[in-house]
Amino acid sequence: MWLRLILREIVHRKVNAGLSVVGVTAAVALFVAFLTSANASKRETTRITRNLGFNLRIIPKATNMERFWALGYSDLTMPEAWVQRLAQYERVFITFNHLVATLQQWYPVADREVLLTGLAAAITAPEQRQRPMGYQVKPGTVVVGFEVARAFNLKPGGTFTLAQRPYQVTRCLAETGTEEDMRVYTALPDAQAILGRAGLINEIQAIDCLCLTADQDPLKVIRAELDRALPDTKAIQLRTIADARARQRQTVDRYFAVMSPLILVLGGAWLAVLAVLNVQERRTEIGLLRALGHSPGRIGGLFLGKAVLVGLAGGALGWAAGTTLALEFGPRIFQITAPAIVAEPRWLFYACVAAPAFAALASFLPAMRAVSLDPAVVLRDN
Amino acid sequence: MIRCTHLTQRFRVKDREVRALDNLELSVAAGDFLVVRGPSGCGKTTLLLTLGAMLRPVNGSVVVRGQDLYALSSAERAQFRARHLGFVFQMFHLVPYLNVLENVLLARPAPPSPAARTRARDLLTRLGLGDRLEHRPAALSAGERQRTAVARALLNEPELILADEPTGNLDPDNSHEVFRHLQSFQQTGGTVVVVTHGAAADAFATRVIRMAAGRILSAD
Repeated sequence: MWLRLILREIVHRKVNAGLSVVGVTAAVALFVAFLTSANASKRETTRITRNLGFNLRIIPKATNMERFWALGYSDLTMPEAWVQRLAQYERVFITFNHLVATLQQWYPVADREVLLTGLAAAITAPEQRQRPMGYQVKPGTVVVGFEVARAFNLKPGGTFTLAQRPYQVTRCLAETGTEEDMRVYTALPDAQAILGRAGLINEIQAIDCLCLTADQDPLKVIRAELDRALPDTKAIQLRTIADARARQRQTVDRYFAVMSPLILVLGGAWLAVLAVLNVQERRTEIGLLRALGHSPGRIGGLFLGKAVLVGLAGGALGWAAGTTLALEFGPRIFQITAPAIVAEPRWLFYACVAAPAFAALASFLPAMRAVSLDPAVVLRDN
Repeated sequence: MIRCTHLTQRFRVKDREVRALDNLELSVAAGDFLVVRGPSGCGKTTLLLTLGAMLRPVNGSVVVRGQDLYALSSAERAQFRARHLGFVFQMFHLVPYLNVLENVLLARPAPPSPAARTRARDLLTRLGLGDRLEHRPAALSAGERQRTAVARALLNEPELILADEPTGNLDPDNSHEVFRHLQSFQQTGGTVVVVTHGAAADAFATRVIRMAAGRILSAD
């Protein structure tokens, strides 16, 4: 009976209910459109960053940086066990992602030099589902850069001899126009054996974590954590990549920080005003129900129940409208992100939970006003 | 059934204090059909709302069925109204988006049982509205609306019906019809208090009292 009463009233006072639903729909649509686009942006940033490669290089602290930049790697080494030590540090995956121990050194082959790069298996956070970054090189195999392949006429399936041992070529990389073209990737133990540096590495490659917030200086945080975890190392951040990521993340965060309260205040005020008008319009009805002995709780429930139904309808419609907005206009605003913008059904669930709660909250004071209406005053006025 | 002692109600209208009930004394016996007559503004509606456990008096007490109404909490008074009192108003106060049957069932604060639905149908049939159960108030005549309100007042089998100008918007035929139904309730053991400014109810009354300026002037 009570639900029927609410539904009948909604149908009877279509304009009030309709405008309330429009208010919730608009608020939810803006949130959903924004969150759908922002999430797509974040996903795309992650993907692009992964494609760009590692942006953190952890090297021995005593490394001479002039030589580092001249050679392209540290000429000092550190124990391979340090990468495990870093991986076991409790806060490591708050700051870093994808730890890969490497040993790199220019190495003579025939009358040429190649940049021999031994790679250990990547270590990722236990809960991370993404595949590890970088190349996975099996022992006894190599991945060769474009110039190396061309100079030694290498093809996948062929062999490449290093330190008098043949290695199977599993992949020849495309031309990049960087030092990558001169690299020969091997499994870390193979590189250590070839270079006579068993158990040693000269770099841990990593990627800084997206979870670092916009108001933090990522490098400062990373260095502080690294000081605690591996005090005899230092970190270099490839700023161009990192800055691009931080800028995009900060832009999204800034928009959201400005828009959220604005939408909430405007949406809440809209609903509250309509609820007040509804209470005003239903004064006689409220007075009658009170006179008939209906409890204040049930009368408050009429208004809060209506708010919940309006919120549910607005939540569902808002999700649909917001998703449509994101799919329609998102690609024009977030051009780089465009392919990643997809409908996110989970926001439907959140919208259908949050919107009724929000609508009930906005209608709370008007509902209390209805409950506190004096039936004698209302009925005498009539 | 009802005993009012030193009943006083005062309101402030702008800067002026209005005495709506002025030290009023009133007793109504069970089975009475009491008509309270008086001009507009004499305190009739205030008296009715006070008797109906809706308006706490500034002074004095109202005892109905041995219960001092204003010694009860607000929630207890609401329960008392639902169990023992029925109301009929001049403006009918039907909920516009509910049909006739649902309007009558509104008198049940709890979800209506099948027995309550049957009783509501029976009452409406007795009041000549058997073929109007599914109609909305907007589709009813004034007389039909007031008979719906009477059915609503009767649904919970109250001991007392309080009616405020119940025929104020009705023609003489419909007025007669409504008073006849109230009288039949009174003749089966119920008590009726009607406040009105007209004399149409006098023919059905067991007692008529006249009010002016918050006081009872005379009793017939």
